[in-house]
Amino acid sequence: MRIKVKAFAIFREILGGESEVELMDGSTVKDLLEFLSEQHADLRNVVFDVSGYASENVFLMRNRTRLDRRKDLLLVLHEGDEMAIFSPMAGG
Amino acid sequence: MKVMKWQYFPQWQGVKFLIEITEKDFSIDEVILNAKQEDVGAIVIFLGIVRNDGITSMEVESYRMAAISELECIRDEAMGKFGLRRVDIIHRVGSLNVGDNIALIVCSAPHRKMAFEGCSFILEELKSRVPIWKKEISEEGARWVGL
Repeated sequence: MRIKVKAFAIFREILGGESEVELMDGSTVKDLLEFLSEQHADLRNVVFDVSGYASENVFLMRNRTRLDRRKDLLLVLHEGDEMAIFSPMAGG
Repeated sequence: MKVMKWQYFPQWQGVKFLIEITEKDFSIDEVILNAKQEDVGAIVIFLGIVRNDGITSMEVESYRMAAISELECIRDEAMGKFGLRRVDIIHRVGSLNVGDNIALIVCSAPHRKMAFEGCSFILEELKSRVPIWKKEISEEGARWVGL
């Protein structure tokens, strides 16, 4: 299945702005992060903390809805999903 | 009075509230003029500008559609919570210099307390919930705010 990945702020600098990745059916949010970490060496240390969870500096959205960086790591993705990955927000 | 308002700014005719993410600068006067209504007794504005912390410029980036959705949610929450009559929010993106406008929040309410509290609420929620990022550029390098 194809997943659209949108990266912002520091993650845009690592991953590029927008890309599409091919994952096996049934893949989860964590699978996507693992896949991206394999493609981009700089990413793993930023994305995962020492316990293997998404680090507190990682924010995730699936189809523009915020995900919990711990509870939703095992959420199964679907064909055409748009996943956004970004660092802490700082508008205003 | 209302007729005069739309004659001055026909591009906003029919727009009930303004939520905008734009590369262009904005006119505070225009937004305030549109915020004036007969049942409004207080308008509080927050204007965020680029502060000189030894930086040369700032890059502002957004996840546009998600940011607009979140701003609309925050606006609706604030209107319900504080009894605001109208909320307008503009946030700039792109390359900004020291002194440039970054963000404008205009809260209209019957009374000042509602307008002050509503504006403060919106600003704090914006900072923590809306996917917008700022990168400060200085002669020493660059850093993402919040990291």
